[in-house]
Amino acid sequence: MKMKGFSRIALLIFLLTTSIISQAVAVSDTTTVVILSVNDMHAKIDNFPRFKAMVDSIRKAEKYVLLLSAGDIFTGNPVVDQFPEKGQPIIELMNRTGFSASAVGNHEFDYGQEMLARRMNEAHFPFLSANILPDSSSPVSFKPYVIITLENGIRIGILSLIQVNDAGLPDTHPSRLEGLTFPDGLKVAPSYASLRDSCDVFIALTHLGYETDIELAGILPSLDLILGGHSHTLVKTPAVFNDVLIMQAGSGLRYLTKTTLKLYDKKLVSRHAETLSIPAFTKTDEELEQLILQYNDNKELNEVIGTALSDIRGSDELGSMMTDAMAAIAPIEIAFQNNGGIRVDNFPEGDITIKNVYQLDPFGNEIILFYLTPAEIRSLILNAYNRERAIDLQTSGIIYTVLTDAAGNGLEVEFRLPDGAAPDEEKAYATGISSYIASSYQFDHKDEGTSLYTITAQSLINYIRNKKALDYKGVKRAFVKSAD
Amino acid sequence: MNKSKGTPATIQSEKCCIIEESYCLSNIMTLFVNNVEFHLFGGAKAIDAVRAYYRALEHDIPRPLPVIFDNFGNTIEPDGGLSPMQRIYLVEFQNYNDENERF
Repeated sequence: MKMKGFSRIALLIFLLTTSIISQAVAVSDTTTVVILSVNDMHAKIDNFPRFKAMVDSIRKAEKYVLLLSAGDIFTGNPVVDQFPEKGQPIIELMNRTGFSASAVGNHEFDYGQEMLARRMNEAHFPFLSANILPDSSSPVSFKPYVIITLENGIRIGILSLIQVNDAGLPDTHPSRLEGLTFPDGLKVAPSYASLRDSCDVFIALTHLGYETDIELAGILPSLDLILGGHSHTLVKTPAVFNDVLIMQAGSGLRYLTKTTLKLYDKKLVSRHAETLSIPAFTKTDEELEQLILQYNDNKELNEVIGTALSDIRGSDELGSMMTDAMAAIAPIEIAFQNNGGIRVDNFPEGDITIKNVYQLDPFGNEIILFYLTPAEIRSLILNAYNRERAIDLQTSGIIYTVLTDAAGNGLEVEFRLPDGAAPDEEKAYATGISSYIASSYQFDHKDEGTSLYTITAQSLINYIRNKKALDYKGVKRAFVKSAD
Repeated sequence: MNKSKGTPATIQSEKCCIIEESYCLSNIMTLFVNNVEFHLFGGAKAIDAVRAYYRALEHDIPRPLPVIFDNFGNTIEPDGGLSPMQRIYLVEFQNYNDENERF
């Protein structure tokens, strides 16, 4: 009995010991890797202190954490966009937060290639893209992928691709893309399929848009995970396509995607993804708080870029200035600005600052180029007028008069060119209007238009810088007359 | 009504500068909003599709802005880029989304 009792105890000890040993083996062979990603930050820096505190708290809890950006870090906040070294604040913040890599998004080119090259030199992380091919004239070049090896030898491959539109370019102004070619990402991707053999986790960090990411999953099923951007899609319910998990975190640094990967013996055995709200996180990084305060107390926005020789007052004068700025961009001949988009009453005589421009035009609308015949231009003016039975469009390149009936309804439009000549009825004029007018206003147009990927405020900043002194006193180009 | 009369003043439209070189692209975007087909300018964003949809309905854009869904049930931010032939769906909710007020 005693012996039997001893045997039972021995057996119990043996079982416990082997259990502990086998657990120890399992633990040592199982690795948790957390991939954090954001996309389309668009220079929105105000959430960075919370974001960094959030990332740091995850790093405290987990040994292997990578932080990635899926592109479009620039454009969308004048504090960053108008910094003397454009975009520098967000690079500094990304360095301090510890990014491992960033995809190249279409807006990374918005400041021009020289400026991008400088930002890339300052970044402590690589900018990736497999479908941007520079020639020798371009100051930028990108690695198509990076393989990050963790301390325990696990290799994580990160391949990157950028969106290309039907014209074969990313959505930015083509003048910023000289010396670069952009093969279609979906055609390039298969040539990187063998990367799977060189890594234990295969990730695509893309700036293609969610729907194109799904196509990518069909083309490259050996991927474990796609972390995407461009479409500003907020994936709250993770979905798997062709056995590839696809995530995206909205835009503007409001959300963070956290994907937890478990590997057993270097083989991926589980994926768990969630989207976390950054503003909801209660802790904040005080050092970054101070830095953000400094950036937001932005002396650059108070830079004087020109002088108003007299007050530039009211919709006529301010709208004329704004449309002249649009018309200063080739090939625009005629430009329109709606009164609702003029957000201050007056540029007082004296200094004009960058901040003044953003107060006047805060919406971030892009300039859309249409080739419009005089008849189409008349339909735009007339429909705009009849929205409120009042002048709504300010203009450059023409002077127009709306003829009305006794009740004030617009009946027809007469317009003249700056030299007083009648327009050529057979010609299609290069006409610049804001993206708001392009999509909100009814007008006849055979041409569907093309974005110049330049915001109206930036065109005005450039215009004032070039003109230096402006005088719009008494300028008026839109009139109403009773037809009776 | 904003009626004005008088002689048109001197127009200021001389080209003071060439800011960008001339590039003419024609990449029209075809997409679907609530299953209605639209053709928009190349580079159109989700908010442009929303505006075009309500323009076609001859309705003002509702406030708060409708929530924009993709074909897979995800929400899209108004300034999100669109893919050709993309389908988006608009749902008007009453709970106010302050973040989208600027659109």
